[in-house]
Amino acid sequence: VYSATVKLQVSLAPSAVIRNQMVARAGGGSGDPPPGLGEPLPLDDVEVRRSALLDAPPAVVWESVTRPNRLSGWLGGAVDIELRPGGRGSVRRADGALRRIRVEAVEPQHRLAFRWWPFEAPDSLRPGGASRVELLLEEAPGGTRLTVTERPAPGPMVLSAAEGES
Amino acid sequence: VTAGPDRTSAVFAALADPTRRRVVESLSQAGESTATELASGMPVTRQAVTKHLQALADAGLVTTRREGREVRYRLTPSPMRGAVRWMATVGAEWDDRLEALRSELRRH
Repeated sequence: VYSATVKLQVSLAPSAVIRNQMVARAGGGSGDPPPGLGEPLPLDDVEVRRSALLDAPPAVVWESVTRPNRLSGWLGGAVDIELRPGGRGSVRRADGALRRIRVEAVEPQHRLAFRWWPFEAPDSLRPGGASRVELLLEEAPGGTRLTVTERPAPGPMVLSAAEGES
Repeated sequence: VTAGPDRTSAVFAALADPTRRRVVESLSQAGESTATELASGMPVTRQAVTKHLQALADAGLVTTRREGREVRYRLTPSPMRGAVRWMATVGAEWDDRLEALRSELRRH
């Protein structure tokens, strides 16, 4: 077992700097799975992290990352979200694909964490499957540094079992 | 593909480029493809895609196969492949979303 971290900066616009960080630890070799369908993830510690310097104060960015009508302008579909720990939500893409949301943490103007998963394959850990997203807002010179972290995480079956739901 | 610290560094360095993440994402969805096929779905030239494929091949992420006059590319089977796909796909999604968020903020 080993790990690696690569940090880099990519300029997207004159005022924009996005710092990418990807961290992964590879699990044991499980042989080569059949191609095509995608394989279960051998990853206990894979994540995608993006950090962007945004040209607006945290209070404004917070609105953009929590209000359904604002989220719908950039998250990839029509968003509905109940902004409290345990709150439910959804993202419906233009093509009809539905993704369910369960809010985990809300700290106004600072942190939003949620799980989301595709309606059709709620417990898949493949790309597009169940994962946990955290958005961190920090005041920075010129605006707000937004850091997004997403990693595979158990979906609703596991969550329900943990909560004792039927 | 043998995994080791050097190999892992090469993998992440190769995936650092947004276009290369797109190429990996396309290969994982479309399966084996030519550079021309891959370039048709992206706003870059075939030459640029070929260069990125070469970098991915150098990192061991992509395997090439010659078929007649065509070179066909596919993701290299390895224990890392699931992780690589996940990061390429999810990373590309956030690249898009953060760009859209910038536009959204400019409208307000």
